[in-house]
This record gives sequence, C-alpha cells and structure tokens, in this order.
Amino acid sequence: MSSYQLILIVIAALTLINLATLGWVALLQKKLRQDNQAVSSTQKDLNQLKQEAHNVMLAETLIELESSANQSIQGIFDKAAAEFTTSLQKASAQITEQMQTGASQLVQQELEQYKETLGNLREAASGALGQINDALEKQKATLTADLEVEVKKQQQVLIEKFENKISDVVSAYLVESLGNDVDLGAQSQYLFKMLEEHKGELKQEILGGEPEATTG
Amino acid sequence: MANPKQLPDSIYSPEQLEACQMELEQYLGWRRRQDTRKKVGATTKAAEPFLLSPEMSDLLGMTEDAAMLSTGELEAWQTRLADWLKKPVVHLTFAVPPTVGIKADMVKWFRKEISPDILVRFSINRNIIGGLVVRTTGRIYDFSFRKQFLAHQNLIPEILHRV
Repeated sequence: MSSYQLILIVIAALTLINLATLGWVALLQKKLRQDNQAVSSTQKDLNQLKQEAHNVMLAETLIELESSANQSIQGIFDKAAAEFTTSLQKASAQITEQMQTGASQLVQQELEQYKETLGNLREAASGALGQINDALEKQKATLTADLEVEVKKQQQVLIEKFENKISDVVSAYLVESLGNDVDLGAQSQYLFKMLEEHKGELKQEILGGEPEATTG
Repeated sequence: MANPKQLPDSIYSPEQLEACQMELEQYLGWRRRQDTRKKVGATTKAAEPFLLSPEMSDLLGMTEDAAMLSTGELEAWQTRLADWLKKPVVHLTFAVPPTVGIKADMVKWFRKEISPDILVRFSINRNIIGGLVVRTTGRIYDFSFRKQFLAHQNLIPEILHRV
C-alpha cells in the first residue's frame, strides 16, 4: 500500500465523512426547520397564551388595582375623614375655647364697664340724692315753719272771727233792741267831745295836711 | 243880700249844691227868655213865673224877688257854685237818721272849727249802733259805739264767764 493510496483512502474517507455530515446536516436542517415551525407555532401559541395570560393578568391586576385603589382611596378617605374629624374637633375645640375666652373676656370687660358705670351712677345718684334730701329737709323745715305760721294765723283769724261774731251778735242785739230810738241828742255831748279831741287832726286832714294813721 | 263868699248853713251837702246849680241854670234860662221877650216886645202869653226854692232863695240872699239880680250876677253865682262844689267834703255817718238840729249843729261846728266852706254829707248805718263815723278824703275817724265795743271785746268772754 502506498502513501497515495492511503492518502486516497483517507481522502475518500474524509469525503464520505463530509457527505455524511452534509446529509446529517441537511437532516438536521430539515429537522430544524420542522422544529422551527413547531417552535414558531409554539411561539404563537405561547404568545397567544401570553396574550391571554396577559389579558387575564391584566384584568386581575386591574381588579386588584381597583381593589387596591379602592382600599387606598377608602383608606385615604378614612384617614382624611379621621384627620378632618380630628382637625375639626380640634378647630371646634379651639374655636369654642376662643369663643369662651373671648366671650368671657368680653363679658368681663362689659361687666367691669358696667360696674364702673354703675359705680359712677351710684355716686352721682348718691350726690343728687343727698342734695335732694338736703333740699327736702330745707323745704320741710320751711313748710313746717310756714305751716306753723299759717296755723297761728288761722287760729288768730278764727279767734278774730269768733270775737267779731260775738261782737256782731251783741251789736245786732243792741241794734235790734234800740232800733231807731237811739237818742242822738243824748249822744251829742259825746260826739262833740270826740270831734273836739280830734279837731286838729281833722283840720289838718281836710285842709290838706299830711295824712296820719287812722284813729278813733 | 248875704255874703256870697260863704255858704249858708242850710246848704251843706254837695247834692244840695248840685240841685241849686241845676235850679240856677233853669232860672237863668227862664230869665234870658224873659229878657228876650221884653227886648222884642212880645205880645204872646208870658210863661209862668219861676219860683225859686227856699234853699236857692236863701243862697241868693233874696226872700222874695230874685229878679233884682242881673243875668251877669246869676252867671257869677253859677261860677261860685261850681267853685263851692270843689270844696272839701266830710262824710258823717250816724246809726239813726240825724235830726235837723243835730245836722245844723254838726254843720256849724265843722264850718266854725274846720273850714267855713266845708260841705257835709250825712248817711246812716245802723251797724255802728251809735256814735259817729267821720270820713274825709283820706281817713276815717270812727267814734262809733261799735268801735268802742270792738275795742273792749275781750271783756265779752269774761262777762260771759261771770254770767
């Protein structure tokens, strides 16, 4: 056996190997194509599945999200409501406190002003009352004095009236008793005596002298 | 003819003087008419003669015929009467009507002691009981018994007690 042969044999062996390899590769390629097709189909299915899964997952997620959102919103609402309630309560308490404080201060101020005004009024009234009392006392004293004087006057007037009445009674009795029988002749001495006694005054009065007090 | 400067005692009051004044005025009118009739020689029936009252005759100082006085003298008397009416007047009040004698005595006393031309007016007030009240223009002189009683009215209760 020569080397050429051997080389030929080797070359033939290699050629056969190559051919076998090519065939196997073709087979592999075919199988690969088939596999690729399958894979492609599987991929499609998978994509479809994925899509479906995605859809399913999306819906669930949406539900979950909605639920979660609802819960969150509810939580937020609850929290906000709680905070608002708390804040409102605090604000209400503060407002109430402020109002109470303000009202109390206002009432206190008004009360103080009222007390001050009342005190001033009381002082003024007390002063005025004192003056009125003084005036009343004076008036009372004056009235009492006037009343006493008036009573005395009235007493005097009544006494004079009584005496005059008595005198009138006596005079009337004398007049009725004497009638026209009074003897002027018998009185003439008394009459001329009285005239003589007052002659000077009569002359002075009648002839234009200064007037004097009534006499007789 | 009496003194024309002095009033006769029979004429003492202003009323008498006024009556004399009126009578004198009427007489003067009558005299003027008579004088006119004489002047014109009237033939119609003359008026009745004018008879003066005793007071007027006494005042004029003529007891029978006032024709002795001229109308001028009568007019002078008118003036005189008007002057006398201006003389002071004294009012005398008695409890009863005074007699003519009392009146004359009073007029004489006042004309002698106070003034010769004074006029006196008499009045009556029974309430004075007795005595006299003299009233001049400005004063009253009460000489009445009532005044005396009132002056001693404090005796009345004592007398009443005694009785």
